[in-house]
Amino acid sequence: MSKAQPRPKLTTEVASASHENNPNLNTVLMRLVLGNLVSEVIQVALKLDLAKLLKAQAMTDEELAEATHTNPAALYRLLRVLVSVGILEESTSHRFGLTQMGQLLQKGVPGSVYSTALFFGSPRARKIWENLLYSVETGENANQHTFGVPTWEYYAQHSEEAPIFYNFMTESSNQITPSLSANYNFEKVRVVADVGGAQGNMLAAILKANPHLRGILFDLPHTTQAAQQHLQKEGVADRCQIVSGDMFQPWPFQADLYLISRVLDNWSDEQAVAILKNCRQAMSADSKVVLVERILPEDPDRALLFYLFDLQMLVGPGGQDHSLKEYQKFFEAAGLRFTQAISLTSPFSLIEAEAVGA
Amino acid sequence: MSEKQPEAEPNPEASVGKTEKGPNFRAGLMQKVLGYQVSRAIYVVAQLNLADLLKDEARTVEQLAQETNSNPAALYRLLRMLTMVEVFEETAPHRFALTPSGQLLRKSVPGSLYNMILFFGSPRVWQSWEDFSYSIQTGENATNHVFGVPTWEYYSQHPEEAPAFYNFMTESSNQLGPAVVANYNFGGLGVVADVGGAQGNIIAAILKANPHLKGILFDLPHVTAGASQHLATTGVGERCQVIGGNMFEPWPFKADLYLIARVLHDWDDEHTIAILKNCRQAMGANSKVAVIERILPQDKDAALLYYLSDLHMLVGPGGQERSLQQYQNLFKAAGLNFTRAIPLNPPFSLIEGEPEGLLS
Repeated sequence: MSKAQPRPKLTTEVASASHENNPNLNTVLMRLVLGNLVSEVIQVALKLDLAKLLKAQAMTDEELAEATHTNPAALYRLLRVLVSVGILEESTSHRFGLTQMGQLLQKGVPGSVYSTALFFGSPRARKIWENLLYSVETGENANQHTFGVPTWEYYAQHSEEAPIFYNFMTESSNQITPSLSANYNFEKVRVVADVGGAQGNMLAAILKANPHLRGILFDLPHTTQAAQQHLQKEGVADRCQIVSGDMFQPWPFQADLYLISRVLDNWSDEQAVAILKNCRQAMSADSKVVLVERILPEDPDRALLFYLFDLQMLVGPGGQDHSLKEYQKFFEAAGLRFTQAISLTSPFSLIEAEAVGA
Repeated sequence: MSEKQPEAEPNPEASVGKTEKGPNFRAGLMQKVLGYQVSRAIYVVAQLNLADLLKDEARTVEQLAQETNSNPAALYRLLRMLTMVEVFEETAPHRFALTPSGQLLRKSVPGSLYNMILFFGSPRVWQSWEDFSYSIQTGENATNHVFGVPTWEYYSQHPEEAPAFYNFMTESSNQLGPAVVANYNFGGLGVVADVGGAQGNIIAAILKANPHLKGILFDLPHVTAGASQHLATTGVGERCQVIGGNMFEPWPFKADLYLIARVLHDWDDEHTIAILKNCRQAMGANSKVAVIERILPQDKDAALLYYLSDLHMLVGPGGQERSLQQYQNLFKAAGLNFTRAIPLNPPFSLIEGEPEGLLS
């Protein structure tokens, strides 16, 4: 048993031996088990907006404690964890600066995770993840179980928390949209409809980048409430119509391109197909539909974040992420034909289809 | 609307999205932001005790779901994610096996983390950590802030959660006991006292391996309640005296070696010195004290788990982890001389001291 084995098998003996020979195994697993501690440390860094303070220059723990009204000794103990995980660097003793990774905790910088991270650390997100066991046992979303209402109603009821979600969506839209404009050819499109487009962030950016386009923003009435103001601010209001309605009812508008961005992953397979069928009904022979979604990667080495987002969809709205093949099946079931997939800003892709029999 | 967009220019952000090479800081950072989700997934694996179901062979998700009364599709998504962190391996489609690291999720195997996982995922610990910002603002423990009582009282008020803590301590002691036995020379000693020794796991291991020794187990009365039975089961009951008492009061016993394992990190410097002074008072001229703790490493790159444990002490009991220098200073303040430090099973070390000079 103590001999080196070329191909260790997964038996008890080898596992215990490899543990004794390799305390690293224990360390690696322990880091995963205590991952929530690191998450909480990052949340506090966000709440104190340390990245903003450290943007211009490195600061000492004393200076940071004074600026953030925190306990210097406790703050130092937090800062050294941030150094250990590569978010800060301690240039000289007790003086801390941002690493390249740490820069991304700043609000509004390219690639920022600021609003995304605040969403995932929000009380609602934490609470539903605390009830992950419920979702694994039942296959149902933990949001309903925890709060008695589905995700969308939760935010309608807790309007003070809604900005956490919308800021997250906006940050994400802002990062996807430039790659959408750069990678998709809007030349032959005249009218683009954004289905489930919320406040119109993505649509406004597309219209801004493509002055020949007209837009339709379609979402639930309470979701599109603030959209008019946003479209005006972006200077595209006169080219954009807001249509309020339910995407599970027939769609009351026509477009050349139907954009359905980060919507289908919220729903069950049946509901996803129902949405696509409504799209098919609305489409004419030359229309296209474009989904923006995370596609579960073929290469599992890069899949951790994808699989975590998938579980987020399980505990939150009760939806799930899919492989490209699964999206192709949905298209087929809705009378659509897959045409192409294009990688956008990671982790998103664009999946295009046209009407069958076109 | 009227402003011209330089469409021909390559968009820097788009190219970031397409570039798959080079360090991806955003993905790395997101993994840390979402670390709690991986923690929770591992906690669910422990709650369902999936690892023990896989100890002999790979099994299908359907079999595992049936045995754990869970939803096959949801369970598949959970296991699939955990293959990414190499806890499970998908040996054939929808068939999963434990990796060497996954073996450590089993109950009672060497190096098992099973009870540690259940402890860190338990409501008290999980929810105290959600209030971590309070500890950073105030320097005070969050448990008290969230639940209105300190850690120790919390468990007397919520006895249903106490096993999560004691099982974790036992799991850890069961791994620590043999390491102490293997690395410390008990030859020439007569009596070993384990101060704050809870159910007596460590002292039992020491006595079992050293038939010439007598033992004293000292802890709060409600903590030592089940200890006599445990010591008897281990076959060392007649060589070990159980004393219920408070370590902040003078210690009513004498020993050649005073073992203080994983106690001092629960306390601030002031309380720690008080404990060590009581030890000093009880010690004879030839007695030794052996403190078992995590020593913060010099090498900061290797220090993450130590620093996390340190923050856990801040959030939970309101204590801290310390460097060797800090322990030496505390020894000194209590009238003790540091003699040596001996590494045990990581992350623990034994820090030995002796009286600096007899107190009057």
